[in-house]
Amino acid sequence: MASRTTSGQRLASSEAGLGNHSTTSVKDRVLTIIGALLMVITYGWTLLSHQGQQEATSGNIAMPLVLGYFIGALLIILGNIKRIPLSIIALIPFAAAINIVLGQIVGISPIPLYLDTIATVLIGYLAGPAAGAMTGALTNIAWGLTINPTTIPFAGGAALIGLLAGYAARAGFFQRWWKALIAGAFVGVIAGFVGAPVAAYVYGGGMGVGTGSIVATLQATGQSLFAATTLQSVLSDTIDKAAVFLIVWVLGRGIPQRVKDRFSTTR
Amino acid sequence: MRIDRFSINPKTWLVLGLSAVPLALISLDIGARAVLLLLLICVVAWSGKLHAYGRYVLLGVGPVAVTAFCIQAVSFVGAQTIYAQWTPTSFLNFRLSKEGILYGATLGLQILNFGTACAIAFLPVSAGELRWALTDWKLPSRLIYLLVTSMNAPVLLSRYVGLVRESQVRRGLDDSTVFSRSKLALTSIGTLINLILLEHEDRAQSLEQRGLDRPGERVFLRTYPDTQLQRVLRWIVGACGICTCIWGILA
Amino acid sequence: MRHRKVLVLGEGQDARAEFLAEHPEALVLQANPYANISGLADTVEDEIAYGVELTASNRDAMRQSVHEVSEKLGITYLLGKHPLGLSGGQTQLVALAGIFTIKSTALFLENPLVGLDASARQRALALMEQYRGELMWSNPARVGEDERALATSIVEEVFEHVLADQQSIKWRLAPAALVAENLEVPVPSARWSKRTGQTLLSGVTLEVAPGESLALTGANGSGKSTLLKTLAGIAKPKSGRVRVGEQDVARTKTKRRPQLISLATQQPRYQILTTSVEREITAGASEGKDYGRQLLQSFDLESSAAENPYDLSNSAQQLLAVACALASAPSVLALDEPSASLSPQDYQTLVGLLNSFTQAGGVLVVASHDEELIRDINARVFTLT
Repeated sequence: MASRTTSGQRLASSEAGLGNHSTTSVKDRVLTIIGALLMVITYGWTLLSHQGQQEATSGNIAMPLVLGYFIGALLIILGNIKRIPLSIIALIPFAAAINIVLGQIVGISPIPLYLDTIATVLIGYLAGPAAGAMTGALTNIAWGLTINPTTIPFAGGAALIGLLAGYAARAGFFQRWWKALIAGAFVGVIAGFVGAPVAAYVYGGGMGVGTGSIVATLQATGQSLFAATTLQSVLSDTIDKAAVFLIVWVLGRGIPQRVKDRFSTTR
Repeated sequence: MRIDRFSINPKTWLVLGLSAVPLALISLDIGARAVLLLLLICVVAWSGKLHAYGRYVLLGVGPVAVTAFCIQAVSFVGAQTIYAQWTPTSFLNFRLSKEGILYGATLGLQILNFGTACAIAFLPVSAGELRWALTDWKLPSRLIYLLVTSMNAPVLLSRYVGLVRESQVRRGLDDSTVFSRSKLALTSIGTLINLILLEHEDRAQSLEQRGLDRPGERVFLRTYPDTQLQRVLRWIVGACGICTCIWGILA
Repeated sequence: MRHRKVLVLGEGQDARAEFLAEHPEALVLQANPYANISGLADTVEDEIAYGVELTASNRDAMRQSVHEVSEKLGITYLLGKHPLGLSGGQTQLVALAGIFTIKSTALFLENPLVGLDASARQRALALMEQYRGELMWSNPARVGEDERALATSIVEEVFEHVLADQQSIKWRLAPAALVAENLEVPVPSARWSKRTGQTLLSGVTLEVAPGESLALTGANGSGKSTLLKTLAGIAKPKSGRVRVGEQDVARTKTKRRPQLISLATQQPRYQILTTSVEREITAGASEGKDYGRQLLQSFDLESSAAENPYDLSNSAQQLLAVACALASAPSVLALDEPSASLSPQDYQTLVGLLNSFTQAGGVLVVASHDEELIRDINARVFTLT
């Protein structure tokens, strides 16, 4: 009996790496490196210059912190925007929109997770680190543009999650559910550390009712705001990213073959 | 010459809002932050977007600001003037303090100011206007696509969600318990993701054919009002914004 | 020299590749209408203009060419709307307008007439007729005479697909009449539509006896789909009620409703809920695996049981949607445009099964403008105006 699939329905021309500008110029590389460095320096600076200081004087941190992370994320976007095939660029806004819708719904529900990086991790898994990073950064910026500007300063962290998801996929971490879980937890720890300064100095730890209560409790034990937020952030992100990676593993199994054929990690 | 909100150029809104962001984040005392918030809200009100701003605060910055305030109010480290105390165990010490309330309010105002500054930049500007402004500023066309389309994308998604949801009802899928509802929700995410993955190559082909990656001057169907005064204002406000940034870093 | 206008029937891979090799500058319009909307515009007018923004000499010329094409396709009333909030047929027309506004020398349109009603179809064909350039378009489903008449040549692939022995399926259903009394149907609500709350249809009274089939006809937007959804209990009527046998459809629980009346809507791609054909047929309120397998067999889908439904061809997806609607053993089967993207073979399969369903006492309600289908299933016609 003849198979009923659409193996050959598509035009050959559309499969040949549409609009793939894989010419990485020196300028793009420099932009990416400066962007990443800027984020690292911003984090290091926050950590070194203000840790242990009285909270009331931390007012000078917020602006340089947001600026450093935001410009860093923007430079990474600009440095990678030409490297990514147009077919992936076309996909990213819709992936970002899924993150936003989901993150917004989960955010106001009693579920103590974020789940706003599912599409980021999925794109990282399918299309590689650069595309993942782009999806992450764009999600938070677009989220800010439409509903919730508090997400904008986390754009750098979100980009990092997409990037790491891409590398995890290349290393084969999405082949087994437990490997995905471990990779997710590991990415969560890193994301937690990176996000903590923003959560502490810009938002005073108040990113949600559940997470906020944890921060308040930790502060009540005598921890500084930064230490309390870092602890909470690492804890929440570890659980959240482990869940997200697991969900992406589940989703990955349901992706149609004709989509899988287009991506190297699932072919 | 009369200036009303309809004669404000989208670029002016963007510059105004974005320049207010660093102002919201630099170190100011509580009084100055309160005054700034009032000023910013006045601008939002004048833009005619107060209603949308309400929703924006309710869903986004509002809860964050309130939580931040509450955390500091009850557990500020180094509190001296203490109004009430609760020590459930020996190492946990919640204290409602004057310093905590003040610091919490300062943080809460910082968050609200940041959100309101962003609201000035984005609420009065539609996706099409944003595309025009960014194109005029000569940003890379792919970046413009990413930003503008992600503003529009939820409309398409909500359409897809509606279709998937309808299918679930049609097939009589159980939605009586929280567990079955979350299972349905997860199925919907899977379907949504598959739908966008199935069409992204066609989407890219369509965009390429219609000149997304081609360089050149674009002719826009719509025109946006602009005046010499607004142009000068944008330069001044923009320069002030950059100065605030530099000052904030050096301080 | 007159420009070629080539119609490709069936898969026709070679003809496509040859055409595109010969005309590398050709613009290609893929079959998925939503993917052809950029998401960059606030209005349909801007969306159509997007493709000529770089080539237009000035604003007025651009507006004129946008309006010219829109008028020819009869979509000037859509120009002010949000491009992502349109129906499938409207979206297809906007996509066509977008590509015809770009004055290209060669054009390949993948299944351009799908989802269009009779008048929109006429307009689209007229635009293709007037097009001054090399044109190729495809139609994997059954093709109309008007479409054949337009083509200067037709590439027809010989179908090797052999019709499976249609096994006599043992239908499970409790015969019951479908009765709708004095229904008042509202315009479906949508965020981008400001017309909510208005009445679309009023005083609709229907009675379909067991073993009978009814066809709802009328132009796009006349309310066929909405009426079907109301009959199936998915959309709520403003007043009036729908019964299957003695049971009130609106008052039946979601889980039980598909056993009374089961609906397969348009665009099967958006109805897929699981990751394999097997699981799809047993999802929700179904009669179980055995009956599901029987249905897959008789719909000639058994060989694809393990596959992901998204990997099926459009035609097979459409058959699967009907099979899934039957999996709950309904007394009434409601179908919205079930023949729109069926290949000629699958069409025969569907007609055979639908007739066998009504012979077993099932009630069939079909919304369609496919006159051949309405004839083949001996349906009584109910026209919406």
